[in-house]
Amino acid sequence: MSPTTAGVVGMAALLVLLFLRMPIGIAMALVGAIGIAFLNSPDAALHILGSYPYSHGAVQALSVIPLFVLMGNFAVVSGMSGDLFAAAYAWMGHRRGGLASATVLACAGFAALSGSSVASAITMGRVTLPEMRKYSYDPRLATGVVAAGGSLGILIPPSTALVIYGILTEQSIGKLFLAGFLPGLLLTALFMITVVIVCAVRPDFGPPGPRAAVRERWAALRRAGAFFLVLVATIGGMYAGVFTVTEASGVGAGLTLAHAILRRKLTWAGLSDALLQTVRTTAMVFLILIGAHIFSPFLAMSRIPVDLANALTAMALPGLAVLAILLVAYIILGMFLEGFAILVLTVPIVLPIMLAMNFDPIWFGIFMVIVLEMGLISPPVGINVFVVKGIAEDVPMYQIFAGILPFWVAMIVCVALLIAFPQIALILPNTMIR
Amino acid sequence: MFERALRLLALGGGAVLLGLLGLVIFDVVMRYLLRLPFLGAYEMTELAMVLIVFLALPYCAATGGHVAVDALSPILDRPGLRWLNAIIHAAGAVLMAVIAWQATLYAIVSGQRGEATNMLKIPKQPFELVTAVCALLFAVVLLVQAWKALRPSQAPETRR
Amino acid sequence: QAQVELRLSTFVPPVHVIYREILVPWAADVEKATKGEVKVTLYPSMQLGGKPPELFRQVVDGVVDLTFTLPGYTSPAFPRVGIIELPGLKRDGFAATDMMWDLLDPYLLPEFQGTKVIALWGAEDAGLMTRTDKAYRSMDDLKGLRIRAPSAAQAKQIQFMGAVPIAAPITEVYPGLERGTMDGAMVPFTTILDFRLGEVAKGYTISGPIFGRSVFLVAMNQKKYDSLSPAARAAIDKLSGRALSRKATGVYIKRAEEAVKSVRGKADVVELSKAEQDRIGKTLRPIIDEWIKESESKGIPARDMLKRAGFAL
Ligand code: NA
Ligand code: NA
Repeated sequence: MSPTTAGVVGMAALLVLLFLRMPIGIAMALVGAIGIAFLNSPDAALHILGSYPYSHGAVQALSVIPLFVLMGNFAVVSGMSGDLFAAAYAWMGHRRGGLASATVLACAGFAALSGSSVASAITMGRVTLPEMRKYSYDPRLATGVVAAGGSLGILIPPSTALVIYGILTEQSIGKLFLAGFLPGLLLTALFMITVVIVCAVRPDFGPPGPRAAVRERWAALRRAGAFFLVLVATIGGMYAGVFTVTEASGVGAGLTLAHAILRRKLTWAGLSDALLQTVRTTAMVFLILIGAHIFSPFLAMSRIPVDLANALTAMALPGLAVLAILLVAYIILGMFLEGFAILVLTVPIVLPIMLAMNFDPIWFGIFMVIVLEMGLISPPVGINVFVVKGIAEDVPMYQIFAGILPFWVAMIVCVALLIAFPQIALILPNTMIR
Repeated sequence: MFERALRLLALGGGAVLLGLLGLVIFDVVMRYLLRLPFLGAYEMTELAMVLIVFLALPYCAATGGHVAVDALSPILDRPGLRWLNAIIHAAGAVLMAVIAWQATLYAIVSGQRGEATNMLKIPKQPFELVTAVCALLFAVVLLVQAWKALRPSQAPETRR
Repeated sequence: QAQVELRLSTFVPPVHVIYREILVPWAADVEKATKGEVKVTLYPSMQLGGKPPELFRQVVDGVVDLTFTLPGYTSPAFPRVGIIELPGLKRDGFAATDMMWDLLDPYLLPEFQGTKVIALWGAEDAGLMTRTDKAYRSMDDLKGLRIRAPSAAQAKQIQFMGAVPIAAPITEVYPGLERGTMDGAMVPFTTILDFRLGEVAKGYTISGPIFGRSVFLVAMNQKKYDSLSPAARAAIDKLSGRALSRKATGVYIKRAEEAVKSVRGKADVVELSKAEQDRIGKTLRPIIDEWIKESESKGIPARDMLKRAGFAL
């Protein structure tokens, strides 16, 4: 069996195991290890099983995941998130789907302080899902909007994905961050339009509430002041250069904890519950990450990514056709792989092809990130979906995917706009002098 | 009893997380107020992450927290397919047991080679052993679930 | 002869200068010299998984056959190799590389047990960069500033100069300087291009050979090497060693010159005066004595090593 065949068989086996309800992380680790045993050696596979769980758990940069989750959980304990959504509801709730639109906005705001999609989806999910459920939103819309909105975390700067892309391709990280800004706003707007369309077609998905009086609206906004204070302290601290992302996540969690204590909302039971919830969610995310990191070396050794790139070059197609093929290929890869793995595996191979066809590498970085976002929410392996599933445990996975579909279409529209008008990504980095 | 123990273990991970929170804030405060950075903060965060992730892993499994694709649940929950569910759990248990075994071997060699963090020279071996023990507990949880999947008296398990 | 595939795993991306100018040509040379018997496949950017600090152990344990890595990632496992991180030992990267090869047998080899050393070389001189428009002109400019240190040994050198070291991997220097969580950084200047630091640093101090150096390693699993045919081993031997290491040093030095050229005129680029270099050298001197004491307590013949390195105690 050739490495390529082995890779294809491995991907098929992964699909079968996933549909048999094997936990995703375990399935990826199992298929990855067997594949490595086959393509490299059984000893190598055993060694990897013994060492990668530790190495991909002991990651300083990923400490933002438990810390931001903890911040979200403390915000729930202190009632801060409830206040925020009471305010959002007062201002937007009388519209159909208003709370879902507010969630999109909140996700975009949160994306400005989180570099990770997973952290965004978890935090905003913890805050917004119970509220949308409380106001009788359809679980499909509620979970879909959080999974999609969370993915803004890697498009709106700061973005870990863009940092990795910049280092892989020797492109300016500052320019990449600037380039991500307008497409991030565009996608936010498209998501809000999607909410409006979904609620126009299915009015029962986001029922309108009573209209709040003007005075009530301002009072609700004042009550949500603490949340904005935390947001300003953490975002402001990050942009002013006082904190790194990790530190911002720590300070944010510390501030929400302090708020809960000051409001006398924190009991021992509440604290241990928030901690248990946080570490449980963290363990869930990391099992998947660890599985992905055992699976992706197998895919690398199968040489499938390299073969794909070579085949593409050999065809000598026009630029748009290549983009279309890449889009489809990435959507398929995105079904199986975690975003970081896709970047590392494919960018070094694909970028030279893009450069040869005169595509702007900064523009392509933004294109990649949006496509990665699509992968994050597409079945069967969509990390953001799993994260949301971890929070909304009673909603079946297929319902979440159904709820995501309209937002996934919105992303396609965003990609199409980006192809038609590359300036959306390029105008800021090309005009702002650094 | 077993599940209570796993919960305590996960709470231990939660305590480490609180400690990490304290460490991050302490590091920021020290650096800005006293200009005294804590050189070990980076690697202590790495080690804390190991504890946070792995101490909670078996508890997450025992409470059904690990994510699976449930698209075919209506078919798979039929009594005739109990054996298949048991096999899937058991296969996971085998994988986790292998991870535990190999992580132990890795940790032993790690100790012999004197592997430690760069700044504070904290030995990595104990933390690698934590991953091994927790993977083993994870395997036990999966075995229990495989056994439960076979028992006809049980209502079809709700999996996530 | 059956074809043997050797997998090389490394943390650098394929655009990295060592990847392009050393690893890719070396892989091609090996294939040619062994008449196709040995084929080297390169896996950049940690595509084969794990974290950079584990690369050396992966080669020792045979998970991969070859690696390009930094022993400094796991400095506690390389106390002897750490000699190159001492301040001001050698006048330039070539001399430092020669020193490592002079020391290899018998002093350094025990730390590379289980592997065959293909290349081992010292980096170009480390320099200082700052996010402010004014480069550091003397040690006094550093007082109380937060300076990123590449390793534990260099953290100590930063401390001795009165600054506050921050331990962070190279990938965090860009956001650190951009946002100001770091005031400056001690780095080899190839990072101006290789990690885009030229975008965020506005002042550069060419410091001369007064600081410690990073050391780079290309190593091969010993058993894998032994399993090759005598002809293949001879071919690999011929393509490895001091000459390849010197070539790699040259690539770095040339890259560093290009890097400095790329920021000249756009940023404040200064060179430390000889007098200031001597002053810093004197300030850092006690670090060498500390290293001797610490090493000897571990049974490492530190004095013999320094003598062999041509350092006057
Ligand atoms: Na972001
Ligand atoms: Na996906």
